[in-house]
Amino acid sequence: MVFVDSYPKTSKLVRSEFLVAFVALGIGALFGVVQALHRTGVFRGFVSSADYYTILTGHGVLLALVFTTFFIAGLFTWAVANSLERELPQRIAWSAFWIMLTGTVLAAVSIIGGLVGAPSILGHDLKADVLFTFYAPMKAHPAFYIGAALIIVGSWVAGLAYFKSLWEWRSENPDERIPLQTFMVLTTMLMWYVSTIGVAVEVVAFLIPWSLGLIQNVDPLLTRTLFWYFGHPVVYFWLMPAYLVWYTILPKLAGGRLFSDPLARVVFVAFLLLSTPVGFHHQYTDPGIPSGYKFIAMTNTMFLLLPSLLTAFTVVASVEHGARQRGAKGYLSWLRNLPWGKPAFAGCMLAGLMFAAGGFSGMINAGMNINYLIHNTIWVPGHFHLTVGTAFALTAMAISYWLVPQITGKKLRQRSIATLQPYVWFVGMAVMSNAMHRAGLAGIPRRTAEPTYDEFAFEGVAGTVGEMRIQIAIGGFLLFVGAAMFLIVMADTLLARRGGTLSVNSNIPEPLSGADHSPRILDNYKLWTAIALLLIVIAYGPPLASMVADGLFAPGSPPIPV
Amino acid sequence: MFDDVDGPEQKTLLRLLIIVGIGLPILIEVVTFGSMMGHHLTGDTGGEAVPGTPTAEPAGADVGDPILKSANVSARIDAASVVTADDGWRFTLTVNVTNTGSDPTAVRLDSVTTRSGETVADTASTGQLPVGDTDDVTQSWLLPPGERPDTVAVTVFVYPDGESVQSTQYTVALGDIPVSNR
Amino acid sequence: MQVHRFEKVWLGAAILLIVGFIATIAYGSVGVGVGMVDDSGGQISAEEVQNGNTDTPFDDPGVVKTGDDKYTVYVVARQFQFVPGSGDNPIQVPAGANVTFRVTSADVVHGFSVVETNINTMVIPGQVSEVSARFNEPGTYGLICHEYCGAAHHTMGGSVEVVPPEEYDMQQENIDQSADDAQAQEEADQ
Repeated sequence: MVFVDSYPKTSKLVRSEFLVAFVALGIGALFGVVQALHRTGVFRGFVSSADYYTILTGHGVLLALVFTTFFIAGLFTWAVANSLERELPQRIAWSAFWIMLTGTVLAAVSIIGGLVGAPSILGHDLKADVLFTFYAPMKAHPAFYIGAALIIVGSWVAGLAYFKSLWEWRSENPDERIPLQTFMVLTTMLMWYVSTIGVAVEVVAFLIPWSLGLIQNVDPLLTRTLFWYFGHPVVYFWLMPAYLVWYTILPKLAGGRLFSDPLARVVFVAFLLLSTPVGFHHQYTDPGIPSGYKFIAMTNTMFLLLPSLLTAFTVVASVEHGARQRGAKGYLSWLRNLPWGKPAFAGCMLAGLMFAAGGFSGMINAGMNINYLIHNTIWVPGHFHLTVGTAFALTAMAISYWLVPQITGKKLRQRSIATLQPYVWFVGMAVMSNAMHRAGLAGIPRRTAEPTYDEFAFEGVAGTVGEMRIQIAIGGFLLFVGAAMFLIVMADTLLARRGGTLSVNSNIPEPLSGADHSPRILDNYKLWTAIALLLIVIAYGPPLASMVADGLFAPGSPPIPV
Repeated sequence: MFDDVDGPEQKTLLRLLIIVGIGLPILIEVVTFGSMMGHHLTGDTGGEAVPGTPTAEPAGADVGDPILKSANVSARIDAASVVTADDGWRFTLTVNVTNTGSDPTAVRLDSVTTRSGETVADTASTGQLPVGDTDDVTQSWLLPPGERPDTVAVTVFVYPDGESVQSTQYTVALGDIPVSNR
Repeated sequence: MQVHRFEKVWLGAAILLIVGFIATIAYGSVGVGVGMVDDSGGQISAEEVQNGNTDTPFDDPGVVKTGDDKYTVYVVARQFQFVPGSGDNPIQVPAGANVTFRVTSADVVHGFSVVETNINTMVIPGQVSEVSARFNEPGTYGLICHEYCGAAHHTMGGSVEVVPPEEYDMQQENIDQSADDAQAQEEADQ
């Protein structure tokens, strides 16, 4: 039975969420290639260097906030319905969709306003050239902050739909273990609820009233601390859905089954516990924060490596098991027995491989003292284009090749483009990210329209700056081509007529070591959430208390339009 | 391998892509590492031995610098600023002119060319300066947003007998003029 | 809970790696003494920095000699320049001296990074960033704002000129001399 026929209502929801995600991906990718060509000086004819930052804001918000959140909503909706075998509560789930879409439109319109002369709307210039991090006291149009808040609130409501499904299922199955996919979804959502408190307080209590003129000042250090309280866990909000795919679908695509259900649950619980009390590692170079708190965040960050290292083991072991089921022999030659020509499989594998590289550069970022060499250099975007830009984005694209046919009932079209697409993305990212990392070591900053200065010139540690620039431009262009290839396949598939029998289905094989082997305490959400909150109180309580002790809005800064 | 792909061409292509995709970054890393070790072994340990970062190209004229190589006048930049706004970046230049020749003279600021090659014309001139006199001339140009001034065109007029006029145009390269928002 | 033997080995190795990382960083800060940017710089009113009435050296930022071979550099970052630092006003310090940078912002969040060194700090309105360093080799070092601060962010650069100590002292004498001359001239004019 095809998923769309079993759960037609939920399928429609997933389709709508994916559609918004894909539109955001298309616009975001276009903005991306404009930047890659502009900042490398290859072609600067699209926008002026002043408008570059509008494009950069759009790229960050559309890809890191809109594309991710909508795609994750779609994937989670499918995963909950599939593993609990029921339609999602429609009213809640659709309200979530419309709230998020309203927020997206508000944020997008206020960003685009900056490209069309920033007309005055409701007494404020309609622009939001404040980048994805919107550090106060740079001020955007209030609609931008309200839009960002609505996207978050919408995702909270979506989470409610998943929990409601679980409660319905639980009343019918009082003694069963929570199915693994639902367990992963709900653990991720709990982490998300806990971590978005920071940005919600920042935006709702401070930035919205401040941008409207209701309060005069905000404390820039306090608001950015609240941002980073959310700013690191958000990367796990991107990553955990990719892990859901790698743990539960990838082994099946490889022809096998998951190695261990208990370990998968342990990994997700570890993320719930450790994702949030680490935000200060984005503020290693911030004044006003005692180094002791930075040290605590550093140790927590290092322990966050553990669930990812365990994942590397489990995923590789599961895929190897799949290869051996397909008749593979030998220590390494099993790699040849994998379906590298299937875009869903190849995309996930390449994404995972690249995530390993991203993990290593992340260890450098987390290293409190070596971080000084690379903080705010282009090394950092080099790093996160491997993580969110590949581990998440390429996994999302790859799994769409597998999932979209199931939520539409239509066979995947343009198969040859789909087959090549993950490789194009991989090569483009390898070239671009590698050069970005090296350029970062030469001290070249991120977030700049023209990384050249009148007072001095940069010098490459190895290789020349010119050669790195060309590689960034070529890589960025290949990535744009990769995104376009994906969107062509999706558009052609979505617009096609339904016909024939699908070769894919949503049945997930039982793990080698099943849920019976995992202790029941792992499913105790109350316990883990309580511990997570406790760890946050330890890491954030004292520094936040000292920041607000001198007054919530002091030392204060009035809004400064940019 | 690739047993689920149609056609041998695509298999070859895929194999090639895998080799390029994984080989290329490894190659770059090996070259990077090799050149770093090379520096290390030859005693050139990067940061310590290289005295800082190299300076950029020799810059043009800054505030306080003389700008015209003319026998008739001496001129220097008294003030220069670039101020950002949504409708454009305003470049304002004040030049102090002294008539050092033997005939009356005048200096006119003509146009500014930006670093991306756009020219904005708006002129301002000193009056006719008697020998030995000094005057300031100020003009501002609204450059497109994001544009910084590169050169300014300046014309020197000399009036040998009060009637006829000889003019010479100079293109003055500007140095690093810091940008501000007010 | 059943854990495979290979998984146990992997888990052990992973924990070892993590503890190793933490140990090297702890050694770096305690043993080698790699300093961190922290709250030692104190707070300041960004509005007063903007208006130049803080009653601190930030009202007239620059290099202050605070002792034998000890200098404090006060820098105000504002859209879109470092004062001193940008344009033809580089920060000048002698080689080999203990230099403490005290940097603050007059408007939005900026960055203060001396290229290819580990002098790298955020500059946040309301806070003073304090970083200590010693430049052993004379030369010109690039200075950049590495946090987006507005439409002309990419123009916000500067330089740190590290000069040999003797040359530095001579320059200072000349500056003092010319300042004295100017003052004498002014008094004579009156």
